[in-house]
Amino acid sequence: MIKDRPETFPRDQMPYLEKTPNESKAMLSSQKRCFFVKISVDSAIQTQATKCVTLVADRNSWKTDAPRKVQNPSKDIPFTHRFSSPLFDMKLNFLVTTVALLVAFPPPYECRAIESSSNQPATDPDGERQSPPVWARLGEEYFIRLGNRNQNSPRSPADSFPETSQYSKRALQLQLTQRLLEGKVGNIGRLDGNYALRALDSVERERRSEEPPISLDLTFHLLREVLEMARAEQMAQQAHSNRKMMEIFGK
Amino acid sequence: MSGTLRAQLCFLLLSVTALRGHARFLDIQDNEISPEGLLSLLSSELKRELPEEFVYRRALRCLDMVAVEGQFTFTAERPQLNCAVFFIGEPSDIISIEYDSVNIDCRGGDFVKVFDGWVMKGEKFPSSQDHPLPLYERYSDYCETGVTRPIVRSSQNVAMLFFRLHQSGSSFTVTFRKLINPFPCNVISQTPEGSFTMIIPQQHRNCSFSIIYPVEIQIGELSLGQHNDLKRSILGCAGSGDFVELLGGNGMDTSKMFPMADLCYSFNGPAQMKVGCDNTVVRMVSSGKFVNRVSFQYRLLGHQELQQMKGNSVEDVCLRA
Repeated sequence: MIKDRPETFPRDQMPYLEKTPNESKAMLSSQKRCFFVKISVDSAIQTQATKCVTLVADRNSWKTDAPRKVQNPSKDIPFTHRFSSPLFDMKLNFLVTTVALLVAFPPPYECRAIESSSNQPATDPDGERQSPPVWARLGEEYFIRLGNRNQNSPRSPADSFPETSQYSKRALQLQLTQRLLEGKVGNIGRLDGNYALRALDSVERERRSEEPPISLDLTFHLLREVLEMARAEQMAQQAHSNRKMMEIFGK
Repeated sequence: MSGTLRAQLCFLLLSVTALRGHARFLDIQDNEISPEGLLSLLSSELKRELPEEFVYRRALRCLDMVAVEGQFTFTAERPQLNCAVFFIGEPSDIISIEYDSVNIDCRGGDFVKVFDGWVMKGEKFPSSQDHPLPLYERYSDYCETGVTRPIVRSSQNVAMLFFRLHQSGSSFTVTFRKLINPFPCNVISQTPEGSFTMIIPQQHRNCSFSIIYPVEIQIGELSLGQHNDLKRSILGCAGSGDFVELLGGNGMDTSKMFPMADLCYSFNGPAQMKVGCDNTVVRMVSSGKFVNRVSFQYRLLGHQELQQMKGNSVEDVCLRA
């Protein structure tokens, strides 16, 4: 997210990590994110570049591709005097090298500034190209995971999967389609596995949901015979209980 | 408390308990209604219920039908993989099944399921059009909800129990009870002969009365709506929202049966029809605007009559006359 930022950055903050926690967690399937960065020293913008960061394993923090943090030099020491400090010398060297490498080897075309919760879905054609693959990949991941879980379920094959009502299935399917069309990448994290399963199977389920999962193959002839046996039993039991009542109350 | 006030309270309590269909009696001594007598109304124990020794008990078979209230036990002597028990009551009953003790291995693939209706050859009664619940909600699995909800109630006078037991020695016991249903909708008749009056009091629903025999139906009275309008149309009753249809077929599902006759105007005289199908259904479709009522009688078609109908009829689909 690009905001109007002050030109100096606080020392303990990475300048390109302006993301809300929800957005950070939403970037689940992509390993790399590229941002537009302004690096400035002492109220002067030294350079602007696109910088890529890598998602670490716990998906809760970002780390730069560079091994060390780029720290802003202190404002107290005038710029010209900094060359005298050997530590600063090293840091400056490193900074210049990084920038030079970035300029010399520009990052891949699909890196772009991520705009989330913005109302400009049409501004970035790259973004739209990028979001469908993310969605599909995410979708497949979810489908596969849930498919395995259902196969491993200990229930017998005659049982049906848990089925939702037709209205909720249709509503969820509409919601999913709507999000795909709008390309809102940031909303992936809010989908859970159930949505994906229902959307995928909703059409098949609506057709199959009318088939009774458990049924008995019986002819009407056999059914009538069993019914007649039950009727005979009922008559006999009625006669028996009448007799008992008469014995109790008839005394 | 004055005598009249006490009497009024007592009357109020009686009315409240009577709405449930369960009667209770008060122990009145010396024409005095005591507080103990009043409180006994509120206790859940039914005075009319038979004590323990009078409860009917028997063992279940793998394929069975039960029409008597009581306690039924199934014990597996060998693995039983496809078993079903049908429950049926009077037309004005609904069925209540309570799990008393279930000793099965849910994780090993055993199950005990109650279905709200009857299912045969993939066809269910009542059909999805006539039943208020969706299909998956009509199955109630003991392994999933049986411990938290041990009593399952049906919506009509029929229910089924499916079970599969892999190990010999597994068993379960259920108590079958019949409860009163003041406006029965969706009935399977226990007998091939009888009579019935179906009333739909201003509800937007469809009700079926199924007779699993070839019968002759005689409709004595049909009252659709408040006025005796003659809403006859050349194309049949498709346009009107309230009508009665006679269906015949060879399956359980009323939506897959063939219409034999349509009636969408009120009349008083008897109208007769012979339907030579395995399953004969009188179905009433109600829009909810009126109170609809149909009274009919039915009797079993004899073998000779069936032969006669076969000789007269050209079509193969369920003989009608």
